[in-house]
Amino acid sequence: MASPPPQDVTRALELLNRGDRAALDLLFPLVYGELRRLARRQLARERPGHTLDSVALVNEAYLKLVEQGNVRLQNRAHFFAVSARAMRAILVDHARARNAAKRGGGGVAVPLDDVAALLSDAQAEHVEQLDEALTRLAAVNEEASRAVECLYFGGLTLDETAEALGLSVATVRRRWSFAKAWLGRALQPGT
Amino acid sequence: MREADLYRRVCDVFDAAMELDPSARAAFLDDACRDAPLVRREVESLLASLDGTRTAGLFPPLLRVADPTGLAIGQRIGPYTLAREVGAGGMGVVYQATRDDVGKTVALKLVRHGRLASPEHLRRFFLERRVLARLEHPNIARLLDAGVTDSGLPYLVMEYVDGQPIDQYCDAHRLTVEERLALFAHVCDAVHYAHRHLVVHRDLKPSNIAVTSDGAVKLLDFGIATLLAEGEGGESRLTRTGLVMLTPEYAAPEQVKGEPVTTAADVYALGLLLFELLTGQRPFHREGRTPPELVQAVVEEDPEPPSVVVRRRIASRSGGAPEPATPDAVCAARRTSPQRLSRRLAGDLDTIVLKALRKEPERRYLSAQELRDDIDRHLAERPVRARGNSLWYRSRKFVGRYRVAVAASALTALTLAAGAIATTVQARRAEAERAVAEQRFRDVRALAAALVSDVHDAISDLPGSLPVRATLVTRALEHLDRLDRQSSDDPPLKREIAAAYVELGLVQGNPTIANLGDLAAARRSFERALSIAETLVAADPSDHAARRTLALAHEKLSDADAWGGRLPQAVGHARSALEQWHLLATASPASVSALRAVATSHIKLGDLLGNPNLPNLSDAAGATREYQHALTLLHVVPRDSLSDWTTRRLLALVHERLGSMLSTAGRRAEGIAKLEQALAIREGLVRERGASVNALRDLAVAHQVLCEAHLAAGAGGEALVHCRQGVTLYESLRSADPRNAQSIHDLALGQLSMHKVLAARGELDASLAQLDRSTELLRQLLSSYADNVPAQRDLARGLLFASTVHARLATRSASAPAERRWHRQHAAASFADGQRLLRSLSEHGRLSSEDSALLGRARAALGRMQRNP
Repeated sequence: MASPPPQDVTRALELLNRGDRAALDLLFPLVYGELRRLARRQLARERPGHTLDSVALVNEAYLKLVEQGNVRLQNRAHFFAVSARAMRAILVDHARARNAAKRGGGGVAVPLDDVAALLSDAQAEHVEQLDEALTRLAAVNEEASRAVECLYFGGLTLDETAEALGLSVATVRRRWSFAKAWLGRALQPGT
Repeated sequence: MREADLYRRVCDVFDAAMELDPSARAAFLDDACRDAPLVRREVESLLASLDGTRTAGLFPPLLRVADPTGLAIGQRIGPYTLAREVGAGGMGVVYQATRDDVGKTVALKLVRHGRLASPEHLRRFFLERRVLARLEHPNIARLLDAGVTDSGLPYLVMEYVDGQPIDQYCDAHRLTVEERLALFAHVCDAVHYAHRHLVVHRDLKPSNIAVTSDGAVKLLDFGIATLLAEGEGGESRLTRTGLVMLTPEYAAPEQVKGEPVTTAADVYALGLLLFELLTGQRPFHREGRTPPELVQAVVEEDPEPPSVVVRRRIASRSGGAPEPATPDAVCAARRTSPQRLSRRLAGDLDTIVLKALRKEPERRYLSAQELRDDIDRHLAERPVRARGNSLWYRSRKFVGRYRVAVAASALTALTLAAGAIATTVQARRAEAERAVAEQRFRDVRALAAALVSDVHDAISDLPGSLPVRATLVTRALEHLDRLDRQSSDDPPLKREIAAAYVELGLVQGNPTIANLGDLAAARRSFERALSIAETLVAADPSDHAARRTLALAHEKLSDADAWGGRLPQAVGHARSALEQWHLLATASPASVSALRAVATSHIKLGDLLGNPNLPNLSDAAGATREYQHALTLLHVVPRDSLSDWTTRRLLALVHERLGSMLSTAGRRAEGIAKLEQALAIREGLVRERGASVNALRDLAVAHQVLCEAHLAAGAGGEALVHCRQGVTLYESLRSADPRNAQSIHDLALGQLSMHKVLAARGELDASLAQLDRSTELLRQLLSSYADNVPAQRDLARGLLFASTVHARLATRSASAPAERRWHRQHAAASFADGQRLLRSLSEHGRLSSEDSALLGRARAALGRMQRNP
């Protein structure tokens, strides 16, 4: 994936600094591409069945982008929020591709690319369901959904999540509990 | 109620209910949802979902992130019960906890970003933990335990320290500059102690240095950064910067730049700490500076001297007091005034701090100890090292020490000053030359210190130290070559250069200690040393230092030649070395080390002549004679306590050699008795020097030699016991230092022995497995250094052994025909490979009688197989 021109990144970051959350969407392709590349590289080194270390990936992507001058350090928290979303997207895209291939239908030719070792079949099913549930949760409580994205997919700390989402740590904790309860119920068949 | 409104309310009520004890929730809901049964039903359903087991598999660890609220006070982890959370940082959460069985209070650190599940990482985690657990120093909080929680998170248990961060402690107690320096010296001691154990802190900052209420310094989290920054392979361990927890303000320039992090980073951090303790500020912190600007300053900006900084109005401390500290406030906390503080810092303390804060790691203090020494010198009003040797400076120090006397003579000096001016021009020229000489001398000293003394000695005996030593070598080689070219006629300098070349060669490729496996480079270094030392000794036969280097160079060249299969040359160098050591011992008859050197020299010569376990000239009688010489000498060496273990090590070595000779000559019982004597000494040494690689390796060798002797005597059971112990030791040494060529080779040899034991017991399949592993290791060794003759020879032996075992399996009637066919093929193929390899060695005259015998036996086994289809 081609990187967006630097001025786009700069503009996106300016918007972010002014609190414009839509700017995250401008940054997203850049971060997604970088994380995907790193994930592929890391998996190439690991034996199959090992899982990704999202924190290491996110940090590596971050430093790489800082090196290229695309991200400034004071945007750390925002960057991590974008990364979390990107990690979610990477995993979900992959899970969908995998599930589609497994179901063998739909005629959608989704190649199982070199990230194939990323998820087991059971995990792929779960991730897709979790993603759908998270989207529904966002309609009920956006903050709770974002908190899960940061804490689970992005591997952020409570502090980092609070900073990224502009909430207090106590609030993040509350949203996390709510999200757990909500998702637990949503993903439980027959409830 | 609209759905959005409904859920806003559901969330609010849910949050409030979560704050309550579960038993109080029903009553609360009655009250809160009186008018909204729908809200109540939702909240109850959600709470039920949370209470149940439904959230259990919700976030499977496809991403290695802990449930951040997953641990609760009162919960147990292993034998510990969490009492309260005492802090959280980049690395994880710290709890105060109690060890249930002994009621002891500890600090339990849960590693949040720990890499989970992979057995390899856990194995390294526990290995590293063992190193840390050995740090026993009064100023270092001890690592007591470590483990993994049920959910797979690594945790560390540390000594619980009830104290204050050192900066806050100093200010709260209004410590004076001198008191601060005294406290700082303790920090240096602790850091130096850890460095000697090859543990780098990498994250030293005030919050990691506590002072207890009775004024004792305790360093926290030692080595934790290293423990957690574990990369994919062991080799990245020393070079990776802990990205997750890097605090730019306390990072050294090389850390910020992602360059290798060594003990020098800790010295830098000590400089920062001293800066902060003295001035109340951080050198690069400015109001309004963004983190990238800060990083840039760390890399590029020269810090201002502390004496200048304390006069300025101070920027607010990040994360510290909200209001900017004024010079007066800072000085009040040090019981002084800005002017007095500035004067106090100008000169020595400025110089010391700035030397520790140099951008280039090699220009800082070489060790925390050296930094501490300068603090001591400063407190004693003696010249500090950091200031070099200028006459002006030394005389000022003199004035300081003898202030009264000097004041009296100042008047006299004034009248003399007029005359002095005339000679100044001349003196300056001489001064310039001396400066060059001094600079050069310092270069050599710095090099010698780095290579020979402290760092190298401290680490060479520790597992896993090779990467550090490789870095040392690269830097040292450039340095030495430059010096060697510059120095023309300067015997003391030449002497140091020669000695340094020997040291360098040892690290490059000394077959007898842990090495980098580059024999050709090592040989070049030894030859440089030899030629320099020969010139020096020829010019001045009483130059003992040069003669010692000459002897060493011969000895090491002999090793290198033996290793390269040039036995006659090796014997020649060994005899020259023996001669030089003799001359030295005669010159100083009281010297224990000289006598020991002669004894060692005899042993080495004996090995070349006829040690059956090494390539040799098949002169068994000559070898035994040399060993007896050594034994006689070792019995006359006086045993003072300091050198006792060295002598005992040699003694064990001689017993082992004589035991092997006896055993090979068929006097098996006598041989085994000697070998058991050796083993007893080895075991004693390991008990005393547990962590030493050499002691452990020696013990392993002793077991292996005994195994071979028992095997030859037909005692298979005894052989197996010793072989197992030997191989286990070799395995642990190898996993401690996976790049060490010697430990790979050792393990391969151990496995060759193990194959013999198993084959003798008729366990042919197991025996074959050992051979496969062994040849695999030897191939690995040869892939990085193809000229390693002993490895080639051992590979050939391994292949021939394998051929023999395959041949036996091919004729075993119990096997299926397909299996027997498979073994036949492998027997033939292994024999062909082994024979080819041995032939290529014999073309260089590197084939011993043992090797020829082995080839004959393998050929015979193959013949039997072919006659017996």
